[in-house]
Amino acid sequence: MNIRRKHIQELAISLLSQLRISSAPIDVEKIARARNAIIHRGQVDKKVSGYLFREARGNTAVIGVNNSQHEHRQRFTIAHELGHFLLHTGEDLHLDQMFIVKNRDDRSAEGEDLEEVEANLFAAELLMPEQFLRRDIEEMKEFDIFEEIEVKQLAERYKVSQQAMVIRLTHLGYLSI
Amino acid sequence: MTSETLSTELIYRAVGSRIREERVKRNITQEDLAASVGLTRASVTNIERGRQRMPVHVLVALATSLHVSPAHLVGSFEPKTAVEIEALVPEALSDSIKQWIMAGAAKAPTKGGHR
Repeated sequence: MNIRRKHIQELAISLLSQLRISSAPIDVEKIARARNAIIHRGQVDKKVSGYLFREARGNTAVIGVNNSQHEHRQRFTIAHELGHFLLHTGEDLHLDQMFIVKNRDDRSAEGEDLEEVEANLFAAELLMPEQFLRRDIEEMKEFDIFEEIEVKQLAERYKVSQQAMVIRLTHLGYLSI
Repeated sequence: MTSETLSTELIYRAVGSRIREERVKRNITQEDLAASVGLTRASVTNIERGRQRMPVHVLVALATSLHVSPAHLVGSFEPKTAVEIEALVPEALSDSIKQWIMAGAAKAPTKGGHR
């Protein structure tokens, strides 16, 4: 199976338009609530960044967020878990751990990695929509991506980590590696 | 994509993944499962991926071949019990993380409104 880029982008766009969200920062909790996913924060050790617990045969969910992590990271976690909720099936409890050796016999490691990639892609599409970014960059006169300060400004505006913003800008062709 | 189509898609994908799970558990090939219910292997592949929406009698036949109840393949709307939730939580986690998961799971909405 390949990464469903188009499907993921369309899903993110439709969620944003349904809630009439048209500018950054994206209210990711509002989007989750609209999909019957509630947020449950907890201050625990950083080994686990978040989890997804499904109820009502996958129709509702609890998204666990570790709030000992930075606020921007928490937003990404929520978007990532929401991605699993809306894109994937199979597990009633999905944990996202920082350092993990997955060893499950019923799902191939490759398949799980693919789901992580899809959830990350969904989070990027949701928190940093291409259309919003292109517009904002256009408004920043003489956007010079080599200026760290501008990446920082964008990250602040979208309430995401600078690392997430750099990856997104690279994918959109504004930055090259 | 409307929320209705999304929900329908997820139902078939969930049922499909349960069929696959049970088949793999019993070491049955897609070919053998297909033959036992009079389908082609491609149909079984598609059903397992949620891309083919089978009629109820086919679901019952698949359940019979897999020695599970059709209800098991469809899944339950009943909220999970504390014991069921606990069984999902990996043993190796720290107590604080386990408690955080249990507390969150207990707060899960039991009815999906408009998905």
